Amino acid sequence: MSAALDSAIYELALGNPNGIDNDFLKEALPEYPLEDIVNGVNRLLQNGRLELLQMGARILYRGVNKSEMERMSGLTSDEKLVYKHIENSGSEGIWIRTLKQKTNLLQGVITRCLKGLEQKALIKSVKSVKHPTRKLYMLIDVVPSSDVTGGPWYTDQEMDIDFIDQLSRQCYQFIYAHSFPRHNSKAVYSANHTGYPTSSQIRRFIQENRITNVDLSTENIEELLTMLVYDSKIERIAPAFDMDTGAQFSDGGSKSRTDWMYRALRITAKDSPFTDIPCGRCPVFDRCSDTGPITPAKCEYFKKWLTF
Amino acid sequence: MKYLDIESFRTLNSLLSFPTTSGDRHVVGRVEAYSCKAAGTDKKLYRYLENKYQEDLEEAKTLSPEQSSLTNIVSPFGPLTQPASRRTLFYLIATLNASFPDYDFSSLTADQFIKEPSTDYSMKSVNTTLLNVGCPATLRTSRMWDSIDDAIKLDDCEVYSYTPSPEADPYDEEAPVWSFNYFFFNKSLRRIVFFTCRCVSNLDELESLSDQELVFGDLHDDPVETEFYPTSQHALRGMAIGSGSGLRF
Repeated sequence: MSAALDSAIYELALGNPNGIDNDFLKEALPEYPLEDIVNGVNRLLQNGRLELLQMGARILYRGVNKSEMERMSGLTSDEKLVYKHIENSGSEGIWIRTLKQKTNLLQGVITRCLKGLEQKALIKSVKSVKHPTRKLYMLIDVVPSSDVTGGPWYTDQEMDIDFIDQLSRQCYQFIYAHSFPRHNSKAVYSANHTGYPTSSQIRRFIQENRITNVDLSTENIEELLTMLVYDSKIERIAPAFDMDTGAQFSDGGSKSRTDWMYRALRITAKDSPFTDIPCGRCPVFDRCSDTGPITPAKCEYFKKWLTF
Repeated sequence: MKYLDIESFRTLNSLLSFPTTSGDRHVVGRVEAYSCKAAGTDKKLYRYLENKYQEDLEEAKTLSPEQSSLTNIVSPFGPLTQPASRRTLFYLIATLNASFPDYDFSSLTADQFIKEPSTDYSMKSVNTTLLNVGCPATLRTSRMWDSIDDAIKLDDCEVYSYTPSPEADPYDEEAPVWSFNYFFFNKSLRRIVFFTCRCVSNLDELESLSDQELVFGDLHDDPVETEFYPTSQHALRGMAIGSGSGLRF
């Protein structure tokens, strides 16, 4: 009799991957007294078909499917604990020190568990580009996140500077070509011009011209563009607004994203204050003082300079 | 690398934890002796490093001499084309791995180590650092260098130091005010004494506070526990006993 109840609970748990709690079970199985349900839950927890989760103060039960059970069956309880933490770290991986803090297991015990799990091909060690010396672990079939691998900008834990340089130069040239009117080299567009390229347009340009084989997302392109903004090569312009209707002039494609536009900056010669002030070019600088015939108060060059 | 448990080092290590005279920081150091006898994991590490070197060698053939990382790396161990130099690098990496079990330093390159001019130079440097920060009399009278000399015969040693870049620093979590890592390597004895030390601010508990806590103060009922309770009394005690000791202690 209990077998039927157990499998009923198990099926309900499997059917709700987000977890079920006691109230849910009470409602779903009104024909059984609560005590029987609780016993059934305990039996399932013991033979590993049900798993306990905690969400804040709530306790939930999750159904463990067959393949998971097979994987976990050969593990000691320590190994199971370590495995669970590694599983929870997802695609970011977990550092062995964090593992030690969370499980409170000793160094030797953890090393043994990790070795066992690695031999059973359940976990793998990974290296993060942010902390290349830390020992990180994740489940064997999980793809490391771009935070860990560095995304398209890193090849084998090394920053691909050439790739970044070339790509950002291509983006810059594309933006430059669309930033100023073609016919006149000194002209600029008017203030409400909306033809500056957006990040999606730049991405399309990179893709259509097959500048690189690497698949780049819009976020990747925006990382490059942010770099160019900080290098003072381009500037980010807010999308144009129609003041009366409040509607945005977009490029027709995207509606909800804030489509920033990018414009190249013409690098102006940096004037140093020394060359700006007439004193820098004054032929009688050495003879200038507070008194005497040559003094700033009577300086001709200053007069001319101050009249703008 | 096989860890050698030396009685005098155990005493030393307990003395190498002390608050600074300024009272707002504490120094934590340790001295460890290792034998260069290869354990199982060491052989794996050595094979890995040799493979990496061979791959770099192959890659270098296709690149011009300026581009190849092999020729560009200034190695303190001697030219990396010689297996003896590579072996020294291997010993140092293996020592770091043994001393910091949460880390894996196999990606380190030779140029991240520096060869110290002489043992005397390193000893003076360590002494000055520790004295300046207020090392207690107990440490000063502990005959620290004598113990180390017993273990490793300092006169026959080469000394290297590891100055890590921020991402590869085993102390990055604690953000120390300063740290040093010295390797005393005696080739004939096939032993290394590793002397690592760092100075950490007691205020590092601030790092774990949220912005709200920083502004409004500690919202918990219990005080935040720190490992050390440096008080001005502690500092005074360290200064009161004994003074005017020579640099060699």
